[in-house]
Amino acid sequence: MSMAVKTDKYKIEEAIKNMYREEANKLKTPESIKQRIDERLISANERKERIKMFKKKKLVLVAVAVLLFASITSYAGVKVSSTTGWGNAEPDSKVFSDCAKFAKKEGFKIHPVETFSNGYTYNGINVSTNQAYDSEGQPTGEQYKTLMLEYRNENQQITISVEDNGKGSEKPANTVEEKTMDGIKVYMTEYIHMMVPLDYELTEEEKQMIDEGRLGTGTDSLVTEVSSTTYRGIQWEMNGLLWYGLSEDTAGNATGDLELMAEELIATNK
Amino acid sequence: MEQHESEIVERVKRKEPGAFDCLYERYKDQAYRMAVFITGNTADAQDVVQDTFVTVCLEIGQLRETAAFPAWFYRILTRNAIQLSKRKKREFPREELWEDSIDCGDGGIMDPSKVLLEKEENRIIRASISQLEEKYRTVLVLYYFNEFSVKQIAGIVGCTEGTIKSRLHKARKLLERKIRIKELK
Repeated sequence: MSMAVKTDKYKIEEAIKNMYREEANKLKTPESIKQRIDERLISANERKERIKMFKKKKLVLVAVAVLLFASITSYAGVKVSSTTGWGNAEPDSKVFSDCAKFAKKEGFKIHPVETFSNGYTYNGINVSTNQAYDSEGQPTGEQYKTLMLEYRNENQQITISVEDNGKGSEKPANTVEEKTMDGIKVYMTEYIHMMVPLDYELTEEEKQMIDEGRLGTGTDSLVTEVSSTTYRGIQWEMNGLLWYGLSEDTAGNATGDLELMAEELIATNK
Repeated sequence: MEQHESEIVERVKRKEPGAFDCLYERYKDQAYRMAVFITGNTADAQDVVQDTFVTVCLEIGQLRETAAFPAWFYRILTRNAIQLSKRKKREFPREELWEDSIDCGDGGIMDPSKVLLEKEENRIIRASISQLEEKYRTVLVLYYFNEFSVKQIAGIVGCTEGTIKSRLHKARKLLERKIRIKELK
C-alpha cells in the first residue's frame, strides 16, 4: 500500500477498522480464563460467607474449623493446611424431626438425641459444605458435608457434628486425654480460638500451637483487640462416621457434659 | 440492549444458577479482544478479562439500570486494561508490545504461513498503534473496534465528548506520522 493512500483520513479509518477486524479473528479466548474466574469467585464467596458466619454465629464456624483441622491432616499425602466450612448463618431447621431428613439426604445413618440427661436440648441443625486446602491454598480432597446439631441448656451451647470426610479418624493433635466408651476410642481435646485484628502478627509460640492444632485464629475488620476463648472437644468414630462435640468452656464443666453426651450418643447409635 | 440480554443481567443480579455463565459466554470474546488491543499482549489481556468478570459478578448488585450494563461492563474493562497497561509499562518498558504477541489462545502460535500472508498494511498499523499512549489506543479501540459513538465512549472513559473527539483526532494524526516514519524506513 502506498504512503499517500494510507494517510488519507477516510482510507486510514477503513484501514484501522480492517486491521482490528482481521486481528480479532485470530484471537481465540483461552478456556482457562473462565476456570480462573470461577476459582476466584468461589474464593471470594467463601470469604464473604466466612465473615458472615463469624459475625452471626461464631461458634458454628469454630466447630467446623477446629474439629476438621484436628481430624484431617492429609489427603493423598498432601498436608492439609486449612479447612473452610460454609453454610447458612442461621439454623437450616429448628424442628428435631428434620435431622433425620437431612441425615438421610447426606446418606448418614444416625439416630440423633433430642434431649440429653444433663438437660441439653436440641435447638437446630446446620448442614455445612467443607473443603480442605494445602499449604499453597489449593483445594485438596473432595468437598464433604457436615451435620451440626446445636444443643442448649439454660446458659450454654454444645454443638455435635457428624461427617463423612472419607478419611476416617486420626488422633487429633490437640488431644489432652483418651478414653474408651463401650469399646469405642474417644479423644478429649482442647482448643483456643483467638479473634485478632487484621494486622496482628503471631508469636512463635502461637505459630507452634497452630501447627499442633491447639490454636486457631479468626479476624475481620471490626476486631480491634485480641480476645481468646477456650473450647473443649470430644471426638470418636462410629459406623464409618466421625462424631464431634464442641463447647465453649466458660464454667469449667464442658468436658463432663461432653463426655456424658458422647456416652449417650454412642449407646443410641451403636 | 436486547431483551434477552436484559433478562440475563437480571438473572445474574438475582444470582440464579448458570446466569453468570451465560453472561460470560456472551461477552468473553469481545472483552478478550478489546483487552488485547488496549494492553498490547495476550497475557495481560487474560488478567484484565478475569478481573473484569470477577468485579462484574461481585458488584452487579450495585447496577441500578439493567440497560446500562454494556456501558458499565466496558467501563470496568477499560479501566482495568488502562491501569494494568500503565503499570506494566512502568515495570517493563517496551515499544511494540502487541506486534509479537498475537496468538491463538492458550499459548498457541499462529501458523507461519498465515504470518507470511498477513497484510503489510495491518502490520504497520498494528505496530504504530502499539506505540501510542494508552488513552489514544483506548479511544481507537472503542471507536473503530467496538464501534461505539463518541457519546458512548465519553460515558465509558469518563470524559467529555469534546475530549474524546480531540483524542480521536490526535490519535489519527499520531498514527499517520508513525506510519510515514515506518514506511520511510
